[in-house]
Amino acid sequence: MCNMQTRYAVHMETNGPVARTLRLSLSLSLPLAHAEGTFHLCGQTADYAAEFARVLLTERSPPLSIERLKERVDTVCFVINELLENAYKFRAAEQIRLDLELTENSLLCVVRNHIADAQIAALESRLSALLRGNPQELLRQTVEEHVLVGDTTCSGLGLLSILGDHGVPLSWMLEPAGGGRSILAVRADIPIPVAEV
Amino acid sequence: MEIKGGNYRVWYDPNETVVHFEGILRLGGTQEYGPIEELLEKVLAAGLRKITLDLRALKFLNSSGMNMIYKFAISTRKHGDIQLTVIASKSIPWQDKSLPNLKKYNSNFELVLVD
Repeated sequence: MCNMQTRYAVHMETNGPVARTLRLSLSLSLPLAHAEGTFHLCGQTADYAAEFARVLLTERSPPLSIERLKERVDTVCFVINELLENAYKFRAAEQIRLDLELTENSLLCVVRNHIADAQIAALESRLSALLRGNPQELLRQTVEEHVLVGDTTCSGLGLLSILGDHGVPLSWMLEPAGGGRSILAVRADIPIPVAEV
Repeated sequence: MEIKGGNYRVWYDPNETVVHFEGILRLGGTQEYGPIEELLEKVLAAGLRKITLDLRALKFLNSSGMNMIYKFAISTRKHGDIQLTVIASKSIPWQDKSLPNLKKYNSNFELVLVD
């Protein structure tokens, strides 16, 4: 599954025999130069994390309905894949970290990666527009612009789909890391409905 | 016409004028989606009055893939009076969430959700 330049570090913890909180941390180390097969690891990691979420949610008592469980796991997979793809595309260091934590009524996903400080102004401008506007309307505008512009490296639709189609709130945090880089943490707070019978 | 990758397949059935999508599509941006976009543009260039995309077997599509589908809906709109139909599965959650967006790009769009 991994080439020689890629590492997974898995860390899981519970807070007791009857765990109320479970955490999963995955650390990917992907070479900065694009290499065949490395982008695919974003998807594989999302699949793995979604399966972990499925197990967590299945063991919840009382359980979610089968349909709701499937729907939530599908959202987890989409959200994590998109956040990892963004981290992969804009990273300024090899390591990307994913943390997943199930709390009483949400599944928290945090993806961290280094970005170049030179990218921050553009990022803040984009996030500002994202937070001010209606995600569904921004999605429509963005796609219409893509048709006019032609080739685009990034579709820019991932965050809009997470916010609009999947109804998952996002938040961002930047922390200076030195050497002209900062750590960007993107947090997705995936609602988990009160358990259904 | 057929495009195959590691875990996906896209092909056109000229008898039914249906483009079928199957598997998991998580390609890396516009460039990697280029061959599938070319297939769709060839179908569009055939001058059909009705085009159907059958996505029932497409389990996963990333945002770059959605961008491609949305752009195709705009292309059909620009080609005039073409009926665009998308057949989707009720049992694949993302399809019910994201595919209704297609109506924003083409008023001649119909979404058929099946079990």
